[in-house]
This record gives sequence, structure tokens and C-alpha cells, in this order.
Amino acid sequence: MSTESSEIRHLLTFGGMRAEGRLAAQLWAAFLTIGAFLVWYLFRADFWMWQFIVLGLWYVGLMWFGIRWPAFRILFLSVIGIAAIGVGLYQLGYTAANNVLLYYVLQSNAMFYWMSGAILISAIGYYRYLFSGNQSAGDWGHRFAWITVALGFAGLAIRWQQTYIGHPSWGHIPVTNMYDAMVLLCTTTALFYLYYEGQGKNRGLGAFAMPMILIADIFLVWVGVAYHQNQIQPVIPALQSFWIKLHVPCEFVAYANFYLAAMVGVAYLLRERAERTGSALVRRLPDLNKLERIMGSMVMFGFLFFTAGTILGAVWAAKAWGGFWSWDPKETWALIVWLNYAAYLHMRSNKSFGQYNKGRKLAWWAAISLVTVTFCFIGVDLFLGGLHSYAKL
Amino acid sequence: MLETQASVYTEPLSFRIIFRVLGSMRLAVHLLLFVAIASIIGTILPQQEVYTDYLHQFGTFWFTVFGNLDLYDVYRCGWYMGIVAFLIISTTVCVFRNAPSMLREMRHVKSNPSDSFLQSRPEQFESFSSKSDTESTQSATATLGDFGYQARVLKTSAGDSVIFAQKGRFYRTGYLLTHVGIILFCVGALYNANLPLKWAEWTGTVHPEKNFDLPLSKIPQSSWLSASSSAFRGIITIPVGQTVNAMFELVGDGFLVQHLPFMLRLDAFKVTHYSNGLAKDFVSTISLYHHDGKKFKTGIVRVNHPMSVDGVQIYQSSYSDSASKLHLHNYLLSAPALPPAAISTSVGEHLKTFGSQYAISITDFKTQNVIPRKAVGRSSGPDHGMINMGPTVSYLVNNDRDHTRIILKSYMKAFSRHGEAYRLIGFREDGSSAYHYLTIPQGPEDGIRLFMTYLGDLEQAARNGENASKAVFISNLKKAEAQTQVFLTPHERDDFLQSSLKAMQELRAYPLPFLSVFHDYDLHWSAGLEITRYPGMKVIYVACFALVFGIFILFYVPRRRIWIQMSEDDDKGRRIKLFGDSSRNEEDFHRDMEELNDKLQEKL
Repeated sequence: MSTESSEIRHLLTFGGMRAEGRLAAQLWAAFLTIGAFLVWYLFRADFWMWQFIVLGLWYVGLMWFGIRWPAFRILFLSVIGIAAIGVGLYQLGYTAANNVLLYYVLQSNAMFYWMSGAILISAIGYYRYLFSGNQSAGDWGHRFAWITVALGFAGLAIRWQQTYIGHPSWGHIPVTNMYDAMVLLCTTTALFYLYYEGQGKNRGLGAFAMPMILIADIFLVWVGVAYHQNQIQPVIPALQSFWIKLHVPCEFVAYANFYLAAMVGVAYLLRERAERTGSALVRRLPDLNKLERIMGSMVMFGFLFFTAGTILGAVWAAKAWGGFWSWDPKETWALIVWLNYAAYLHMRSNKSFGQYNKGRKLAWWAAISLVTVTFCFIGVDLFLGGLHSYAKL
Repeated sequence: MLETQASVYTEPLSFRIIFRVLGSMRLAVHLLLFVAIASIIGTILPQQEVYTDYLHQFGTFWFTVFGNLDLYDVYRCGWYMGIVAFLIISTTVCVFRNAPSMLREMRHVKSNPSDSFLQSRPEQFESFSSKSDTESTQSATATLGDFGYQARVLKTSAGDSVIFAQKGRFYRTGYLLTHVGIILFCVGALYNANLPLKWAEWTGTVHPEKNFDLPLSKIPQSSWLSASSSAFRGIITIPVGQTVNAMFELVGDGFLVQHLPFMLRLDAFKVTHYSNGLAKDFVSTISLYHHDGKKFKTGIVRVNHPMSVDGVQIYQSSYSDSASKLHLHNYLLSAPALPPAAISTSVGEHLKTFGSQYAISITDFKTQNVIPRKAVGRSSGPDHGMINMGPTVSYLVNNDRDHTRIILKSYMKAFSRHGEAYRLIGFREDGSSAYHYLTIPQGPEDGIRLFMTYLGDLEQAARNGENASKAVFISNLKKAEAQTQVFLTPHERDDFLQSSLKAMQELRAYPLPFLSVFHDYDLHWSAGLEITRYPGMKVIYVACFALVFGIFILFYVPRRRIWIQMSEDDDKGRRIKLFGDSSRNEEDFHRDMEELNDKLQEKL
């Protein structure tokens, strides 16, 4: 075990990091530690075991993300900053009806419209970069992708505050209808895209990720306008549970990664074709091996969170519906998605079969899985109903 | 020949092949996909519904075909369980095949392997150093330390130094935990599925009852299950104040009766509502008694907050009206001024009126009616677009003479518009979808007494030959006010006259000779409780934890091994050879190794 303890020491002292990076990382660690301590101090009377566990998990997760990915720290602070202004205004008793800033910018629905604009610009920017090679268009796409994430998460935080305004008994985490869910999907997917972009140092994939997010965003706006889902409603008894705060975010991290993997799969196929035809796309997309690896790591990350999220959902079901597993359509489709990616990962890790053109097979597989995931996420609610039908339109 | 066969035991060839195929990755991939595809069926075809519904939907032929394929309860049927069992057997074989070598590998670290093993490593670097043996081992150890490796220095038989370092020695626990987790999960699920009962159903010793109308006492003993069943999941609807000791489990197109290990009394049931009328919480207060009648527990059961007693979980599952008393006031339109007849009834009751020409069936009672504000001509509010219209009773009136069927909906609370209160009564003919509404002004006091009296007075005046003039309206209204002792201000009187004209117009389209107004109700609820005993839950939770933790290790804890061989080389000083391998993420590892090699060259 001595080897393991040296690994941990290495981690804790931020070994292997450059000096200036180390200082920032230590500041981040200090900031999170103080923050976590404050949360513990303020809420310790209301918390029970699982809430402490969740606090710990958030602490570890944010720490890991922040240390591995410096830009995430700035994002985190901006989201807190923007949300603090909005929440503060609501706390002071202002509403969208009597405050211009809230009306045009900081109320959650306005934030989501601004976010939609950012998604559109970002998608166009990335798209121009990929197909015309315009470097500054790619940079603008990148900037607006960041704005998307910041506005989306800050908007959700403000919306959480808004659920309490006027009727304190209504308060709930805003992930309870299709509208909220689509916002969460857009922002989470954009966030993970930016993470992988940072890792791979390549902007070409943005032209696949952002347009897909744009489609989700159009659906979001439509659901809001046509079905009035942008209006805040109280939640039904079955959704009043602590577990929703664990189950739903986990699933969305998974969905975001699965969607991105599908888009990378498409990019892989395009790049393969571009190599045959000698198109200029080749210069702006990572090479095939790298694409395959990015796709694989997305599926793995998604799979980990999907497994955890589905189990958390089952634990919740055991509390709410009287059974860990009820073969409800949503549950069954979650199982189908899980089995599908389990098969994918087995195929990927195996070195004895399916070797011929394996990358292309996996790319097709990841791309087609988009249909399965989408059906599990939206299709079940639209077409099959069942116990999960609160997300229905 | 004989001798060699005698000295080494080999498994029969066929057995070995089966074992290899069963544990193969190829089979695993195909089985996973196969189970996934088979699972789709049960999401397309609604499961465990009433069999006659299926019959209606598919017709006799397909109903039988689907029934024979067990498609109405596909996830518990033989062939589906068979594929899943096959997948689990395959997983188990896979674990048995791989676990021994993996455990060996984790126990015996290859710190000083053969040259040929090292030569086959994917990462290899070579450099030369002029430093002494001890000096170079020390700085190599320190460099490895900077990279987070703890190095060990060993000597080969030839007297050379080998430095060995590795991370993620126990990475194989990832594979073991995930696969054992899956197997454990299925074991737990089987334990929860109460196999002895499944066996008894299959052999016919337990016989599901198909007649859902039988009272408990008439249900044959072959449909009863003892309270000592290891696992159960059933449902029971209890009216407030009643006690039960059994519940129902749906099986195929029938049901079984499960004895409970205690007696359960529903003391009270309550629904709370949000400010806009949507349901906020359902709360049952229940008491549990031993079979000798001694109470041992009282508590509340809410949605998301089950009660747990000796491994039995009690859940709030549903609720329904159970013969709440509904009080209606019935006015005769032929003699509106007569005081109304008070009727007390409840949902499901049938009444006869007008010499049994009209049969009234009370069909529904709701305490809350939340509808969009736009539907009642109101602008949607700043935060929410819904309005609560209060309690309603719905009833169906069957006219025996001309066989028309009218559906009515009577509201208990007044609806206010432009400062005036109205009573709403909706009516429609059976078959048409839209309700027509009577909006009857009710004046300052609850009820439509004033309007009906006024109507009677007007009719009387008309019979007396008076003309319809404003003065006549006013005088008759004043008369009605005096009769009912409900007095209006002049402004209210103007409004009342206006809206009563409209109401009289609406009454012309009203097809019945009587008008029933929903006056009041006494609530009687029954609560649907779900009661389960799942002894396998602990196993399942352990399995889930193993699964998630295992996936984490599998994906994110690679094993990385580094060997540094140092040997004397006369020409160029000491020859330093660096070898490495990684179980995952070879590209990242390659980058790290290049960096490590650069550092080593600097220091050595």
C-alpha cells in the first residue's frame, strides 16, 4: 500500500504542476474548503447523512474539475457572481414587474433567452470555423459557448430562487419539467464540450456540439412558448424528494456526454470521408485515433454517471413507489441505454474481435445511440408515459 | 499415448469450448444487445393491464398469440428471464475464467521481470549517464518521486540495478467489482422475487383468483398466501376508520391475497393543497396492531416517506373518495319559488325523480378543480395561469322517455366575475364534448334561492298578465328579496337584473325540468397503501455500490509500471534503459514517459 500513499501525497501537494498553476490551484482548494465549511456550518442542523455525503461529493467533484481545468474556476465564480445579483434582487423584494434589470436580464426566462442567443452565435461561429477555416469565427464560437454555460447555470440558480417568490411552499429545484430539463441539458452539454475542447486543444468539434445544443435549445424555447412550461408551477408530491437533487443532475451529466460522444462519432465519420476525398476538414479536426479516444472517454464518463444516476433513481423509487425497479417505460429505457453502452464499452475494450475498421464501427454505434438516448430522455415522456410522465407536455 | 493421457488430466474438448464461448467478450456484447432489444417490447405494449382490454385492442387471434408469448407480463416471463439468466451465466463464467489470473497478478508484482518481458513493453527509452551507480539510482528514485511514483531499487542476478515503480496496482478490482456487482445484483433481485411462490404458481398449488368482485371471505384458500412469505409487494385500499389484515397482489389476469404480518387501521387521511389548488401532499395516519389486537405502532405515511416496520415497508400509493356524503339542493323549474328538496347522496348512487322518468347517477366528486385561468375568461396571473374552481359533483341524468343522456357538473363554490358572484352548472349531452354553462347570479348570500324565487315571482306576474318592463322586474325582485330576506343595494340590484336576464336565456337551452345545486359535502376518504417486503435489498445496495465503485476504478485507475535498468557499458558510461506500460490511456502515458525520460536525462 506504500505506493498508494505516495500517490495521495502527490495529489495533495499538487505535485507535477507548474509553480504559478500550483498557487492558483491551492487558492481554489482553499476557496472550496472554506465554502464547504461554511455550508456545513450554516446548514448542519438541517442536514442528515445523505446531505453530508452529497456535500462531500460536490466538494470532491468541484475540486477535481477546478484543478484539472483552470478555466472552470473562473466559470464557477462568474456563475456565482451573476446568480448572486439576481438572487439578491429577489431577496430584496424586487420582481420582474418592478425592476428593469430583472425584467430584461436576470429573471430566469430572460436569462434563458439570452442563453439561446449565445448558443446561436456560438454554433454559427464554430460552424464557420470548421467549413471556412476562419480562426476568429472559431474564437467567437468558443467565447459564446462559455457565455452559454455561465448564463444557463446562473439562470437555473436564479430560477431556483424564483420558485419561492410569492408562495414559499412552492420552492423546488428547477429540474421538474421538460423546460427546466432542456436548459440543464443545454448548459451541461456545453460545459462538457468546453472541457473536452480544452483537453484536446481543438475547436473543430464545436461545429458538431453547438448545433446539436442549438436544436435542444429550439425545443426548449418551443416548449416554453407553446406549453407555457416557462411558468413556474409547484411540484406534485412524488417529486418532493431529496433524491431528485442527486438523480437528475447525474442523469444529465450522462446524457450530455452521450450526446457529445454521438457528435464526435459523426465527426469521426466525416473526417474519415474527408481523408478519402482530401478535403480541408482534415486540418481542422483531430486525427482519427484522437477522435476515437475522445469518443471513448465521453462514453466512459457518461456511463459512470448514468449507472450512478440510475441507481440513485432506483433508490428513490424504493422510497416513493414501493419498489426498487418497477419496469416502468422510463426505467426500462434506461436499462436499454445502459445495456447498449455496456456492449459498446465491451466491444471497445476487446482486442480479439471486431478489429477491422473498429473506429468506424464504434463511431457509427455512438452516433446511432443518439436515437436510443433521445428516446429514453424525451421519447418516453412524449409517447409512452408511465410513472415518469410528469415531464409530459 | 495412454501414458500422456494418464499423466495430465485435460477437460473434454467440448466442455472447454463451451466454457470459453460462454465467457467470451463476443458473446457478452451480443447478449447485452439482445437483452436491450428484448426489453423494448414491454415498453411498447402496456404491461399487466386488464386482459379484456388487450382482447379489445388486438382481437381474438393476436390476443392469443401475444398471450402465448407472455407479452402481457414480459419481464417476469420464462423466455425473458431465460435470456437474462444466460447473460448472468456468461458473466459468471467470465469472472471464473479471469479472476484467478487477475488476483495472482495483483498479488505478485512483476518488479524484476525477464529481459524478454521488458523488451516487449510499449514504452522504451535509452540513454547514458556518467554518474556512479548509487548517485544515479538516488536521482532516478527522486525523479520518479516527483512524478508521484514510489520507487524500489532491486539488484538483478547479474549485479545490475533495476528500479521499479508502479501506480494502480489494484486496478483489476475494477473488473472484479463491476462483474461481481452485476451477479450479486441479480442474486438480490431473485431473492426479492420470491421464487418459492413462483414455483407454487407454476405447479398450481397456488391459484390466482380471477373474479375481482368477490368479497374477501369468499375467496378460496388456494389464492391466499401466508404472512410468512419471504417477499411480497401488494396493494390495499382502506376506507378511513377501517382495519385490514390482508392485501392483494396482481398476478397475470388474476390476483392473490397476501396475509399481512399485522393488522393495519387507517386512522385518518388528508390531502393538502398548494395556494393554486394543486395537490401538495397525501398523508395517511395509520396504526398497526398485533393479531391479538394490541397496538404497537402509530405513525404517518406520506408520498416519499414510507413507514418501515420489521422489514415491511408501507407506502402511500393512491387515494380515492369512499362514499363521501354529497348534499344537493334540488329546485323544480316548474315551480322555482318552492323551497328546494335536500338530497344526500354519494358517488356511485342512483336516484329516480319525476315519477322515475329521470334516473340520476352520481359519477364523480372532486374537491379541487384546477383549470387554466384562460378557460374562464380571466387573464393569466403574474406567476401562474391556473385557477381553482373548488369542489364539483358530476352526475348523469338518463331520461327514460326519450332516452337522452345529459351529463352535468355542479360547482359548490361561487365564481366571481366583475365583482358579482355566480353559481356554475355545466351540462352537455352524452357524446358532445363541450359543456354549456348556466351562470346563475347568487346575490350577496350563498345559493341561488334569491334567483329562483325571483324567477317564480316573474312567472307569476306573467301569468297575471303583466308586461315585461323594467319596473315590473324591479318590483318582482324587491318582492323576492322580501320573501328570501336577502336584500340588495341599488347597485347590486342593477347588476342582478342584468345577469339574471342572461341566466334566464341560458335556462331556455337547459334540457331538464329540475336544477341540482351542489350545496355541501362530508368527506370520507380511502387511502391506497402499497405494502412490500424485500429481503434482498441489502444485497442489492451492496451490489450497486460495488458496480459504481468498480466502474470508477475500471475507467480511471490505470495500472502504470515503470522499470529503469542500469548497466555498466564501457564505451559511453552507464547505460540507462527505461521501460513502461499502462493498462489504459496509452497516449497520455506515452506523453508522461517522454517527460520522465527528459527529466532523467537532465539529472543523470
